[in-house]
Amino acid sequence: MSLSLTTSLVAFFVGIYGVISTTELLSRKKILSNAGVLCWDIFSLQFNQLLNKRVLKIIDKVCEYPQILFLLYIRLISCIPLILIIELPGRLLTFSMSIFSVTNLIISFRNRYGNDGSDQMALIVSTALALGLISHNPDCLKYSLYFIAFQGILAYSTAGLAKLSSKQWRTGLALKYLIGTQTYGHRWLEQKTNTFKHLPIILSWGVILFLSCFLIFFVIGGQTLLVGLLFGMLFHFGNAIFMRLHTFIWSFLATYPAIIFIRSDIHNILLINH
Amino acid sequence: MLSKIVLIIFIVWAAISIICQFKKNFLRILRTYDFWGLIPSWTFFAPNPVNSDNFLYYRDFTLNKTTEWKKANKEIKASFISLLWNPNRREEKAISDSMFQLLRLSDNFDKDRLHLTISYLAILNFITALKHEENTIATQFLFATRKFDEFTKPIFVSNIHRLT
Repeated sequence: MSLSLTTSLVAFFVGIYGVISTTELLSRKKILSNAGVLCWDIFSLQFNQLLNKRVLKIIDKVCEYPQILFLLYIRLISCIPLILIIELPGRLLTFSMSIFSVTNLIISFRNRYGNDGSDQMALIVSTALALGLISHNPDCLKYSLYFIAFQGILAYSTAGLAKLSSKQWRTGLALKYLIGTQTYGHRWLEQKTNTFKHLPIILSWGVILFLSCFLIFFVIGGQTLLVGLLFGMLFHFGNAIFMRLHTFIWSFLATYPAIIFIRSDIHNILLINH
Repeated sequence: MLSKIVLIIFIVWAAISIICQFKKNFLRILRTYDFWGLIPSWTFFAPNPVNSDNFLYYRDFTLNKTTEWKKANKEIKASFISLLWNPNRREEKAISDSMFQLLRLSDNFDKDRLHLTISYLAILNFITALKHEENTIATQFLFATRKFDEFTKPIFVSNIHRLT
């Protein structure tokens, strides 16, 4: 996979995430208003002692409601080229990714609550890719893809090892509890775990092994890595169905092209050195 | 030169990311200054899993009665569309993050000053904007939790706040 195609694919998945998350926020704009749980008048209080008053006044102008909606519309528009441009990382893609990244940073700064791991991954991926693109240097772009791949691998490995270190995860209890909650659970799956007593422990170990071994999939590379990424996709689709974590699909898929590209790049470097 | 600067930025960012996966205290200190959430924590439901649901309730005070506790946030029903697009989840997560943060603070924060915290004010603001009984003069909110196979029980009760 070429550097330009990899960049476009990462941008494509980030763009889809951007459209979904931005339209979700715009459709529930009340939560950003003065009557909402993410009211800026309240959240800005935390910066009173940390930031200069003049700086805070400028930030207020951007973050206050309804101005923040304008920023969300800009973010939505910036996603269109990210989704449509494939194999052509030129000025428009650089410009759109930079706008998306800046608006993402402002929204993340404003909404300290209500974000999850998918928002954080998308923020990291878009910021890193924007940094690589605006440098107008293939080396910088490559570094940004290395960084994106690194974050993807770190995320899976950390999640796996943290679960492996937990007795509740190893015995399947954690998953049984999780499935039983209203927030992240699923009634049908909960009933199945009651019928098949070993299902929670099987599922737990499936998740632990996939996440913990992700680095091994990467090191082996080739078809093993593709199988690992396929497991990853299935894992995220499963989480979307059973835990309603739908945005994770797109923000984590955004790291996959970078992971494939970097693995092949490392392979080529090793071949040349031999 | 530019490529070296960019490389250094990514190396430092990656190193901090690794450290923060294992040193939670370090992460907490950095979070104070990481206004954007660029430093990740990728442990996802581990080592301590989510094992309970938290609910937000409120009640109103009129001149002659106190209402029953009512659920403040709607229950979200999963649908096929919610696999792709689920805006209710954003509000639900913002409320649950505020509740979680407030509960964390209530363990080691001066009780008399808890109502001045951002999370308390955010929830109070949300509650105040909800539909209230006619002639309501004050309102109060409560967090309740329901653990696996247990009954719902209250874990935090707010002060009573006058509505203008």
